[in-house]
Amino acid sequence: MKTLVALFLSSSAFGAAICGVYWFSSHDRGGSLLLGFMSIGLAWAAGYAIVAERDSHLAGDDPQMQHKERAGEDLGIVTKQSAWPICLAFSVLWMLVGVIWSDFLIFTGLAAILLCVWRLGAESARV
Amino acid sequence: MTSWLTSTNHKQIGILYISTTFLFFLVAGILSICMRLQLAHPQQHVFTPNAFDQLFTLHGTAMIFLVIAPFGFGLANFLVPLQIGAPDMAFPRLNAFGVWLFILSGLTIFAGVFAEGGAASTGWTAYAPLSSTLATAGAGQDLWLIGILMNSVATITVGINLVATIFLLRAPGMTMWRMPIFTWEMLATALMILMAFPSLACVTCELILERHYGALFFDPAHGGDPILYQHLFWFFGHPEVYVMILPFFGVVSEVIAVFSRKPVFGYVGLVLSAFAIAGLSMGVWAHHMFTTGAVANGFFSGMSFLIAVPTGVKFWNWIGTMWKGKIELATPMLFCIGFLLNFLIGGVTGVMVASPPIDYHTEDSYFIVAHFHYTLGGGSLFAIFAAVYFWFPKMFGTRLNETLGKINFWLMFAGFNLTFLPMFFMGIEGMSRRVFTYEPVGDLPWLNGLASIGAAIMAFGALAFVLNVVLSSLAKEPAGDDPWGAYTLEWATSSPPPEFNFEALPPIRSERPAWDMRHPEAANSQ
Repeated sequence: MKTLVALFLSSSAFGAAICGVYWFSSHDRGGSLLLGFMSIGLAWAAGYAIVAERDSHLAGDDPQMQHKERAGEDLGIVTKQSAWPICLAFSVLWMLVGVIWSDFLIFTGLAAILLCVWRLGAESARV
Repeated sequence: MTSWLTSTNHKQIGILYISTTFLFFLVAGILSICMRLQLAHPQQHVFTPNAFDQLFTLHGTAMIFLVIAPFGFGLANFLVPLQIGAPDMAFPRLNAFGVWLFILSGLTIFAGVFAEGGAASTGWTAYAPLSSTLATAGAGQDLWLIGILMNSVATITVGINLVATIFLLRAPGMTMWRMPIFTWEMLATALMILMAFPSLACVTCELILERHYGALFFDPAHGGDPILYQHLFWFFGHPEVYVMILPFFGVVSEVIAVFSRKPVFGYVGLVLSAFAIAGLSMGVWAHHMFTTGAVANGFFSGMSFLIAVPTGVKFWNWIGTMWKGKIELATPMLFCIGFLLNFLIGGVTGVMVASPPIDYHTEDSYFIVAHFHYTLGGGSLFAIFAAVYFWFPKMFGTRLNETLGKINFWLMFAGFNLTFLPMFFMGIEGMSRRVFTYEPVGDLPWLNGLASIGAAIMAFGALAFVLNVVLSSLAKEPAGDDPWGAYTLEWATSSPPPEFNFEALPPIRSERPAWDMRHPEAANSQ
């Protein structure tokens, strides 16, 4: 996690630096805003990682950890099959082509998306 | 069949990505042959100007959004969990959603061919106002925009999944500084995706809103700004170039080390240079806009020059890895050497056009076409072939034929250079890109003829590859779990790997756990 935090913080600092240089060399609001958002986003990620780190005991962060030390640990269930992701993808397409051809497609597509998301949520809860 | 449609397993999803990208690659290749047919002689009319516009638009779109970048995502899907000792990606269903959205995005873009007025014809950049107004009416352009929007969302799902997987699902002992270079490069790529692709999704939505709901983001007559489109597009577009190359820097780093029989030279340097490239690439977007006169050329030129430094570090590391190694010229290694030579030409010409005075002369000419094909064709595409030859045994348990592989390489290498080297000279002589024909002046006729012959040779190279895949798949000669004597964790499991990747994980005490497993004495002494 320390590497992760360092990565995000240094990237954020770099983004802030080039944002400053760009603003003073161009006075372009659009580009400066894009770089600023990028820097803030990375700083937020670093902050989140710092908070999350307090409770995290990631096996991958311990250079000496043996595999047997994790024996019996509950890792949850890894999903093998689900029909809802492909249904969701088709629903997104259905909704978007409605922009060209018909509002009916947009509304039915949106309904299909909501149905798929609801089923995915229910599936996650079961897992 | 149903298991493939509903699978959330990262290996099946990875193979789905990779096989789909190869289908799109074949289509994009046919489109490029059509273009070279049209340009083989001056003043030909094999295709109409509008059809030619559609050809180069679909070719560029396919290669960028449906072939090179997604191949990297497919490879990452297959490899990253294996390389870090995870049972799957962090979000398997999001992963499945991403791959199907990607496949549908490609089909949507190509569906434009059947629309009235044909497919999109505004180039892969789809600059406004050309793409936003009635000037380019028709469902083909709309389908293109919808396809790109879906593609950008699919790509963002890949970014989210890779970051979460790499940070959270590493096996015991697999600290970040023990991760394979490929995984590091994919982490840098994923972070770039998360920062750059929302910009593409936004600008695509804006174009859709302009075309169908009367929005005026890019219309100067109503207070809009077409330059804003270029800013938003290139804020995605230039990092995208590195999204298309960083995964393949990882591939090349892995393959060169294995076939030089040495550990990778300068592991930390390779990792840090990847992040330096990723960071710098977020600040160079407007070097594509030098000639608009509306951007700070000095800033973007300086930032672009800086990228050459970490890229040079990588070349140094690759050469250092090969230096005094026991180099084995197997097909993956040949493709990597081809990558180094081609990418060097692409990189050096990239430094040239990073200088505004040179860019003003070469903008929108065939010089630029040659430059980016040397980076993405001669670079990424050659690394794609290296990756396929290298990891095919891990994916399917059988090796591709070496003789056909070498024929594949030499035809591709000769054909590629014959096609794209003349384009530098065409550009210098003033031939514009994206024109459907040209006057028979200067050296243009014979240079174009040469390029078309080269394209035909490349097509035979691609044919040799297809033949190789078919024949090797039919022969089904078992490759063994680790046919190359490779280093990283994926080679410590069976080929193909079991459902959740490992029956038993070896101890992970360095960045070469598979090598440590085979040479415990040497590993312990280190």
